[in-house]
Amino acid sequence: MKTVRSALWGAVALALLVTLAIAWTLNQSIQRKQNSAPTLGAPFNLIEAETGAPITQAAFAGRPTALFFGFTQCPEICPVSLFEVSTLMDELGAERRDLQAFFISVDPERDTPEIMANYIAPFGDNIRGITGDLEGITALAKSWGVYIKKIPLDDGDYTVDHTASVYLVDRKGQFRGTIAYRENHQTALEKLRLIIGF
Amino acid sequence: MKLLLSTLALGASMTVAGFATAEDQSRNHHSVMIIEPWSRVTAPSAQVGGGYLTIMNQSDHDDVLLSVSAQHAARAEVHSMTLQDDVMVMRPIDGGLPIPAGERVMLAPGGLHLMFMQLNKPHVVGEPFEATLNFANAGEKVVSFDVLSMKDSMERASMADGDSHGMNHQ
Repeated sequence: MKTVRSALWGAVALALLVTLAIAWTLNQSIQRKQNSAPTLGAPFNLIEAETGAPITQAAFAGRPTALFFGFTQCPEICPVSLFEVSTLMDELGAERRDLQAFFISVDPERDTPEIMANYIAPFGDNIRGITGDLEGITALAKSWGVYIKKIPLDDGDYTVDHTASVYLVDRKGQFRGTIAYRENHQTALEKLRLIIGF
Repeated sequence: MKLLLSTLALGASMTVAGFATAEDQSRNHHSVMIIEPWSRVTAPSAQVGGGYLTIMNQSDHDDVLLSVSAQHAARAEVHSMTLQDDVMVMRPIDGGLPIPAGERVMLAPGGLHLMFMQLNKPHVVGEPFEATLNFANAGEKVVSFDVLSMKDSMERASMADGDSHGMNHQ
């Protein structure tokens, strides 16, 4: 009888220990998530569309940044995203502070700096374009977890499947979330305020 | 007559460019009606532009939109657009766009659209452009597309969603 009782107490102690261990591990992983937003992106050397000058990761440093990927042979998502981001930045007014935005070509073979700049110009000067060599663009997209795939079409032409969201980065270079295509306008505005505030 | 029709179409807030088709209906059993054709303004240098409309097949025969052509574009196609896990996927519709008997097919933002490619003239707000839609049964239909500003096109897109906020701007 005594042996059974000890065995039972042993089982209770073990269960308690396992529970504590699980709780501790969970707590640790939650703390890790709270403490550090992921840092995305990698160094790059590409071309700024408006100036034709080289642009590197230094352009993102120390400033809240919205960046999104697209191409000029895109009839809906790209112009609508350019319009939305530019409108949001205007609406922020003084709150905008040093928030900046970049539109990065996923089709650098066709999107020369000049074509990019002309495509973006009607949306005002809130957004700057980035293009360059295919290899550099592909590496940059990959470092942001952005999907790009060139799809050949029957007529010899091609299109580019690509991630449509706007990526938001705070001034410390930490990734703080995305604005989805046609996200609620007020929500998008709040998200921009958030990265400006960090 | 044609001038009168375009004036009417321009004046109406809801453009129905299918007047001729509607008139013909009694004698043509293959008629389709084109409702609210519109397009979004493009950058002056843009190479592509979208076109949206609703096609209503008023006949009891299935029809197919076989091809599209426009003077201001070297090529025009029907495309589908979807967001798959946040990735934009755009494809030409092969073999034509089916317009089943008695049904309406909507080409609207976030989905099917006409894609005008290799533009030789941009889409300018307030300057409608024409395109010819070639149907297997209904034949050729010349359609005039209104060109909306970015802001108006966003509102039109919300209306197409049935979004109540967008409807308020009507």
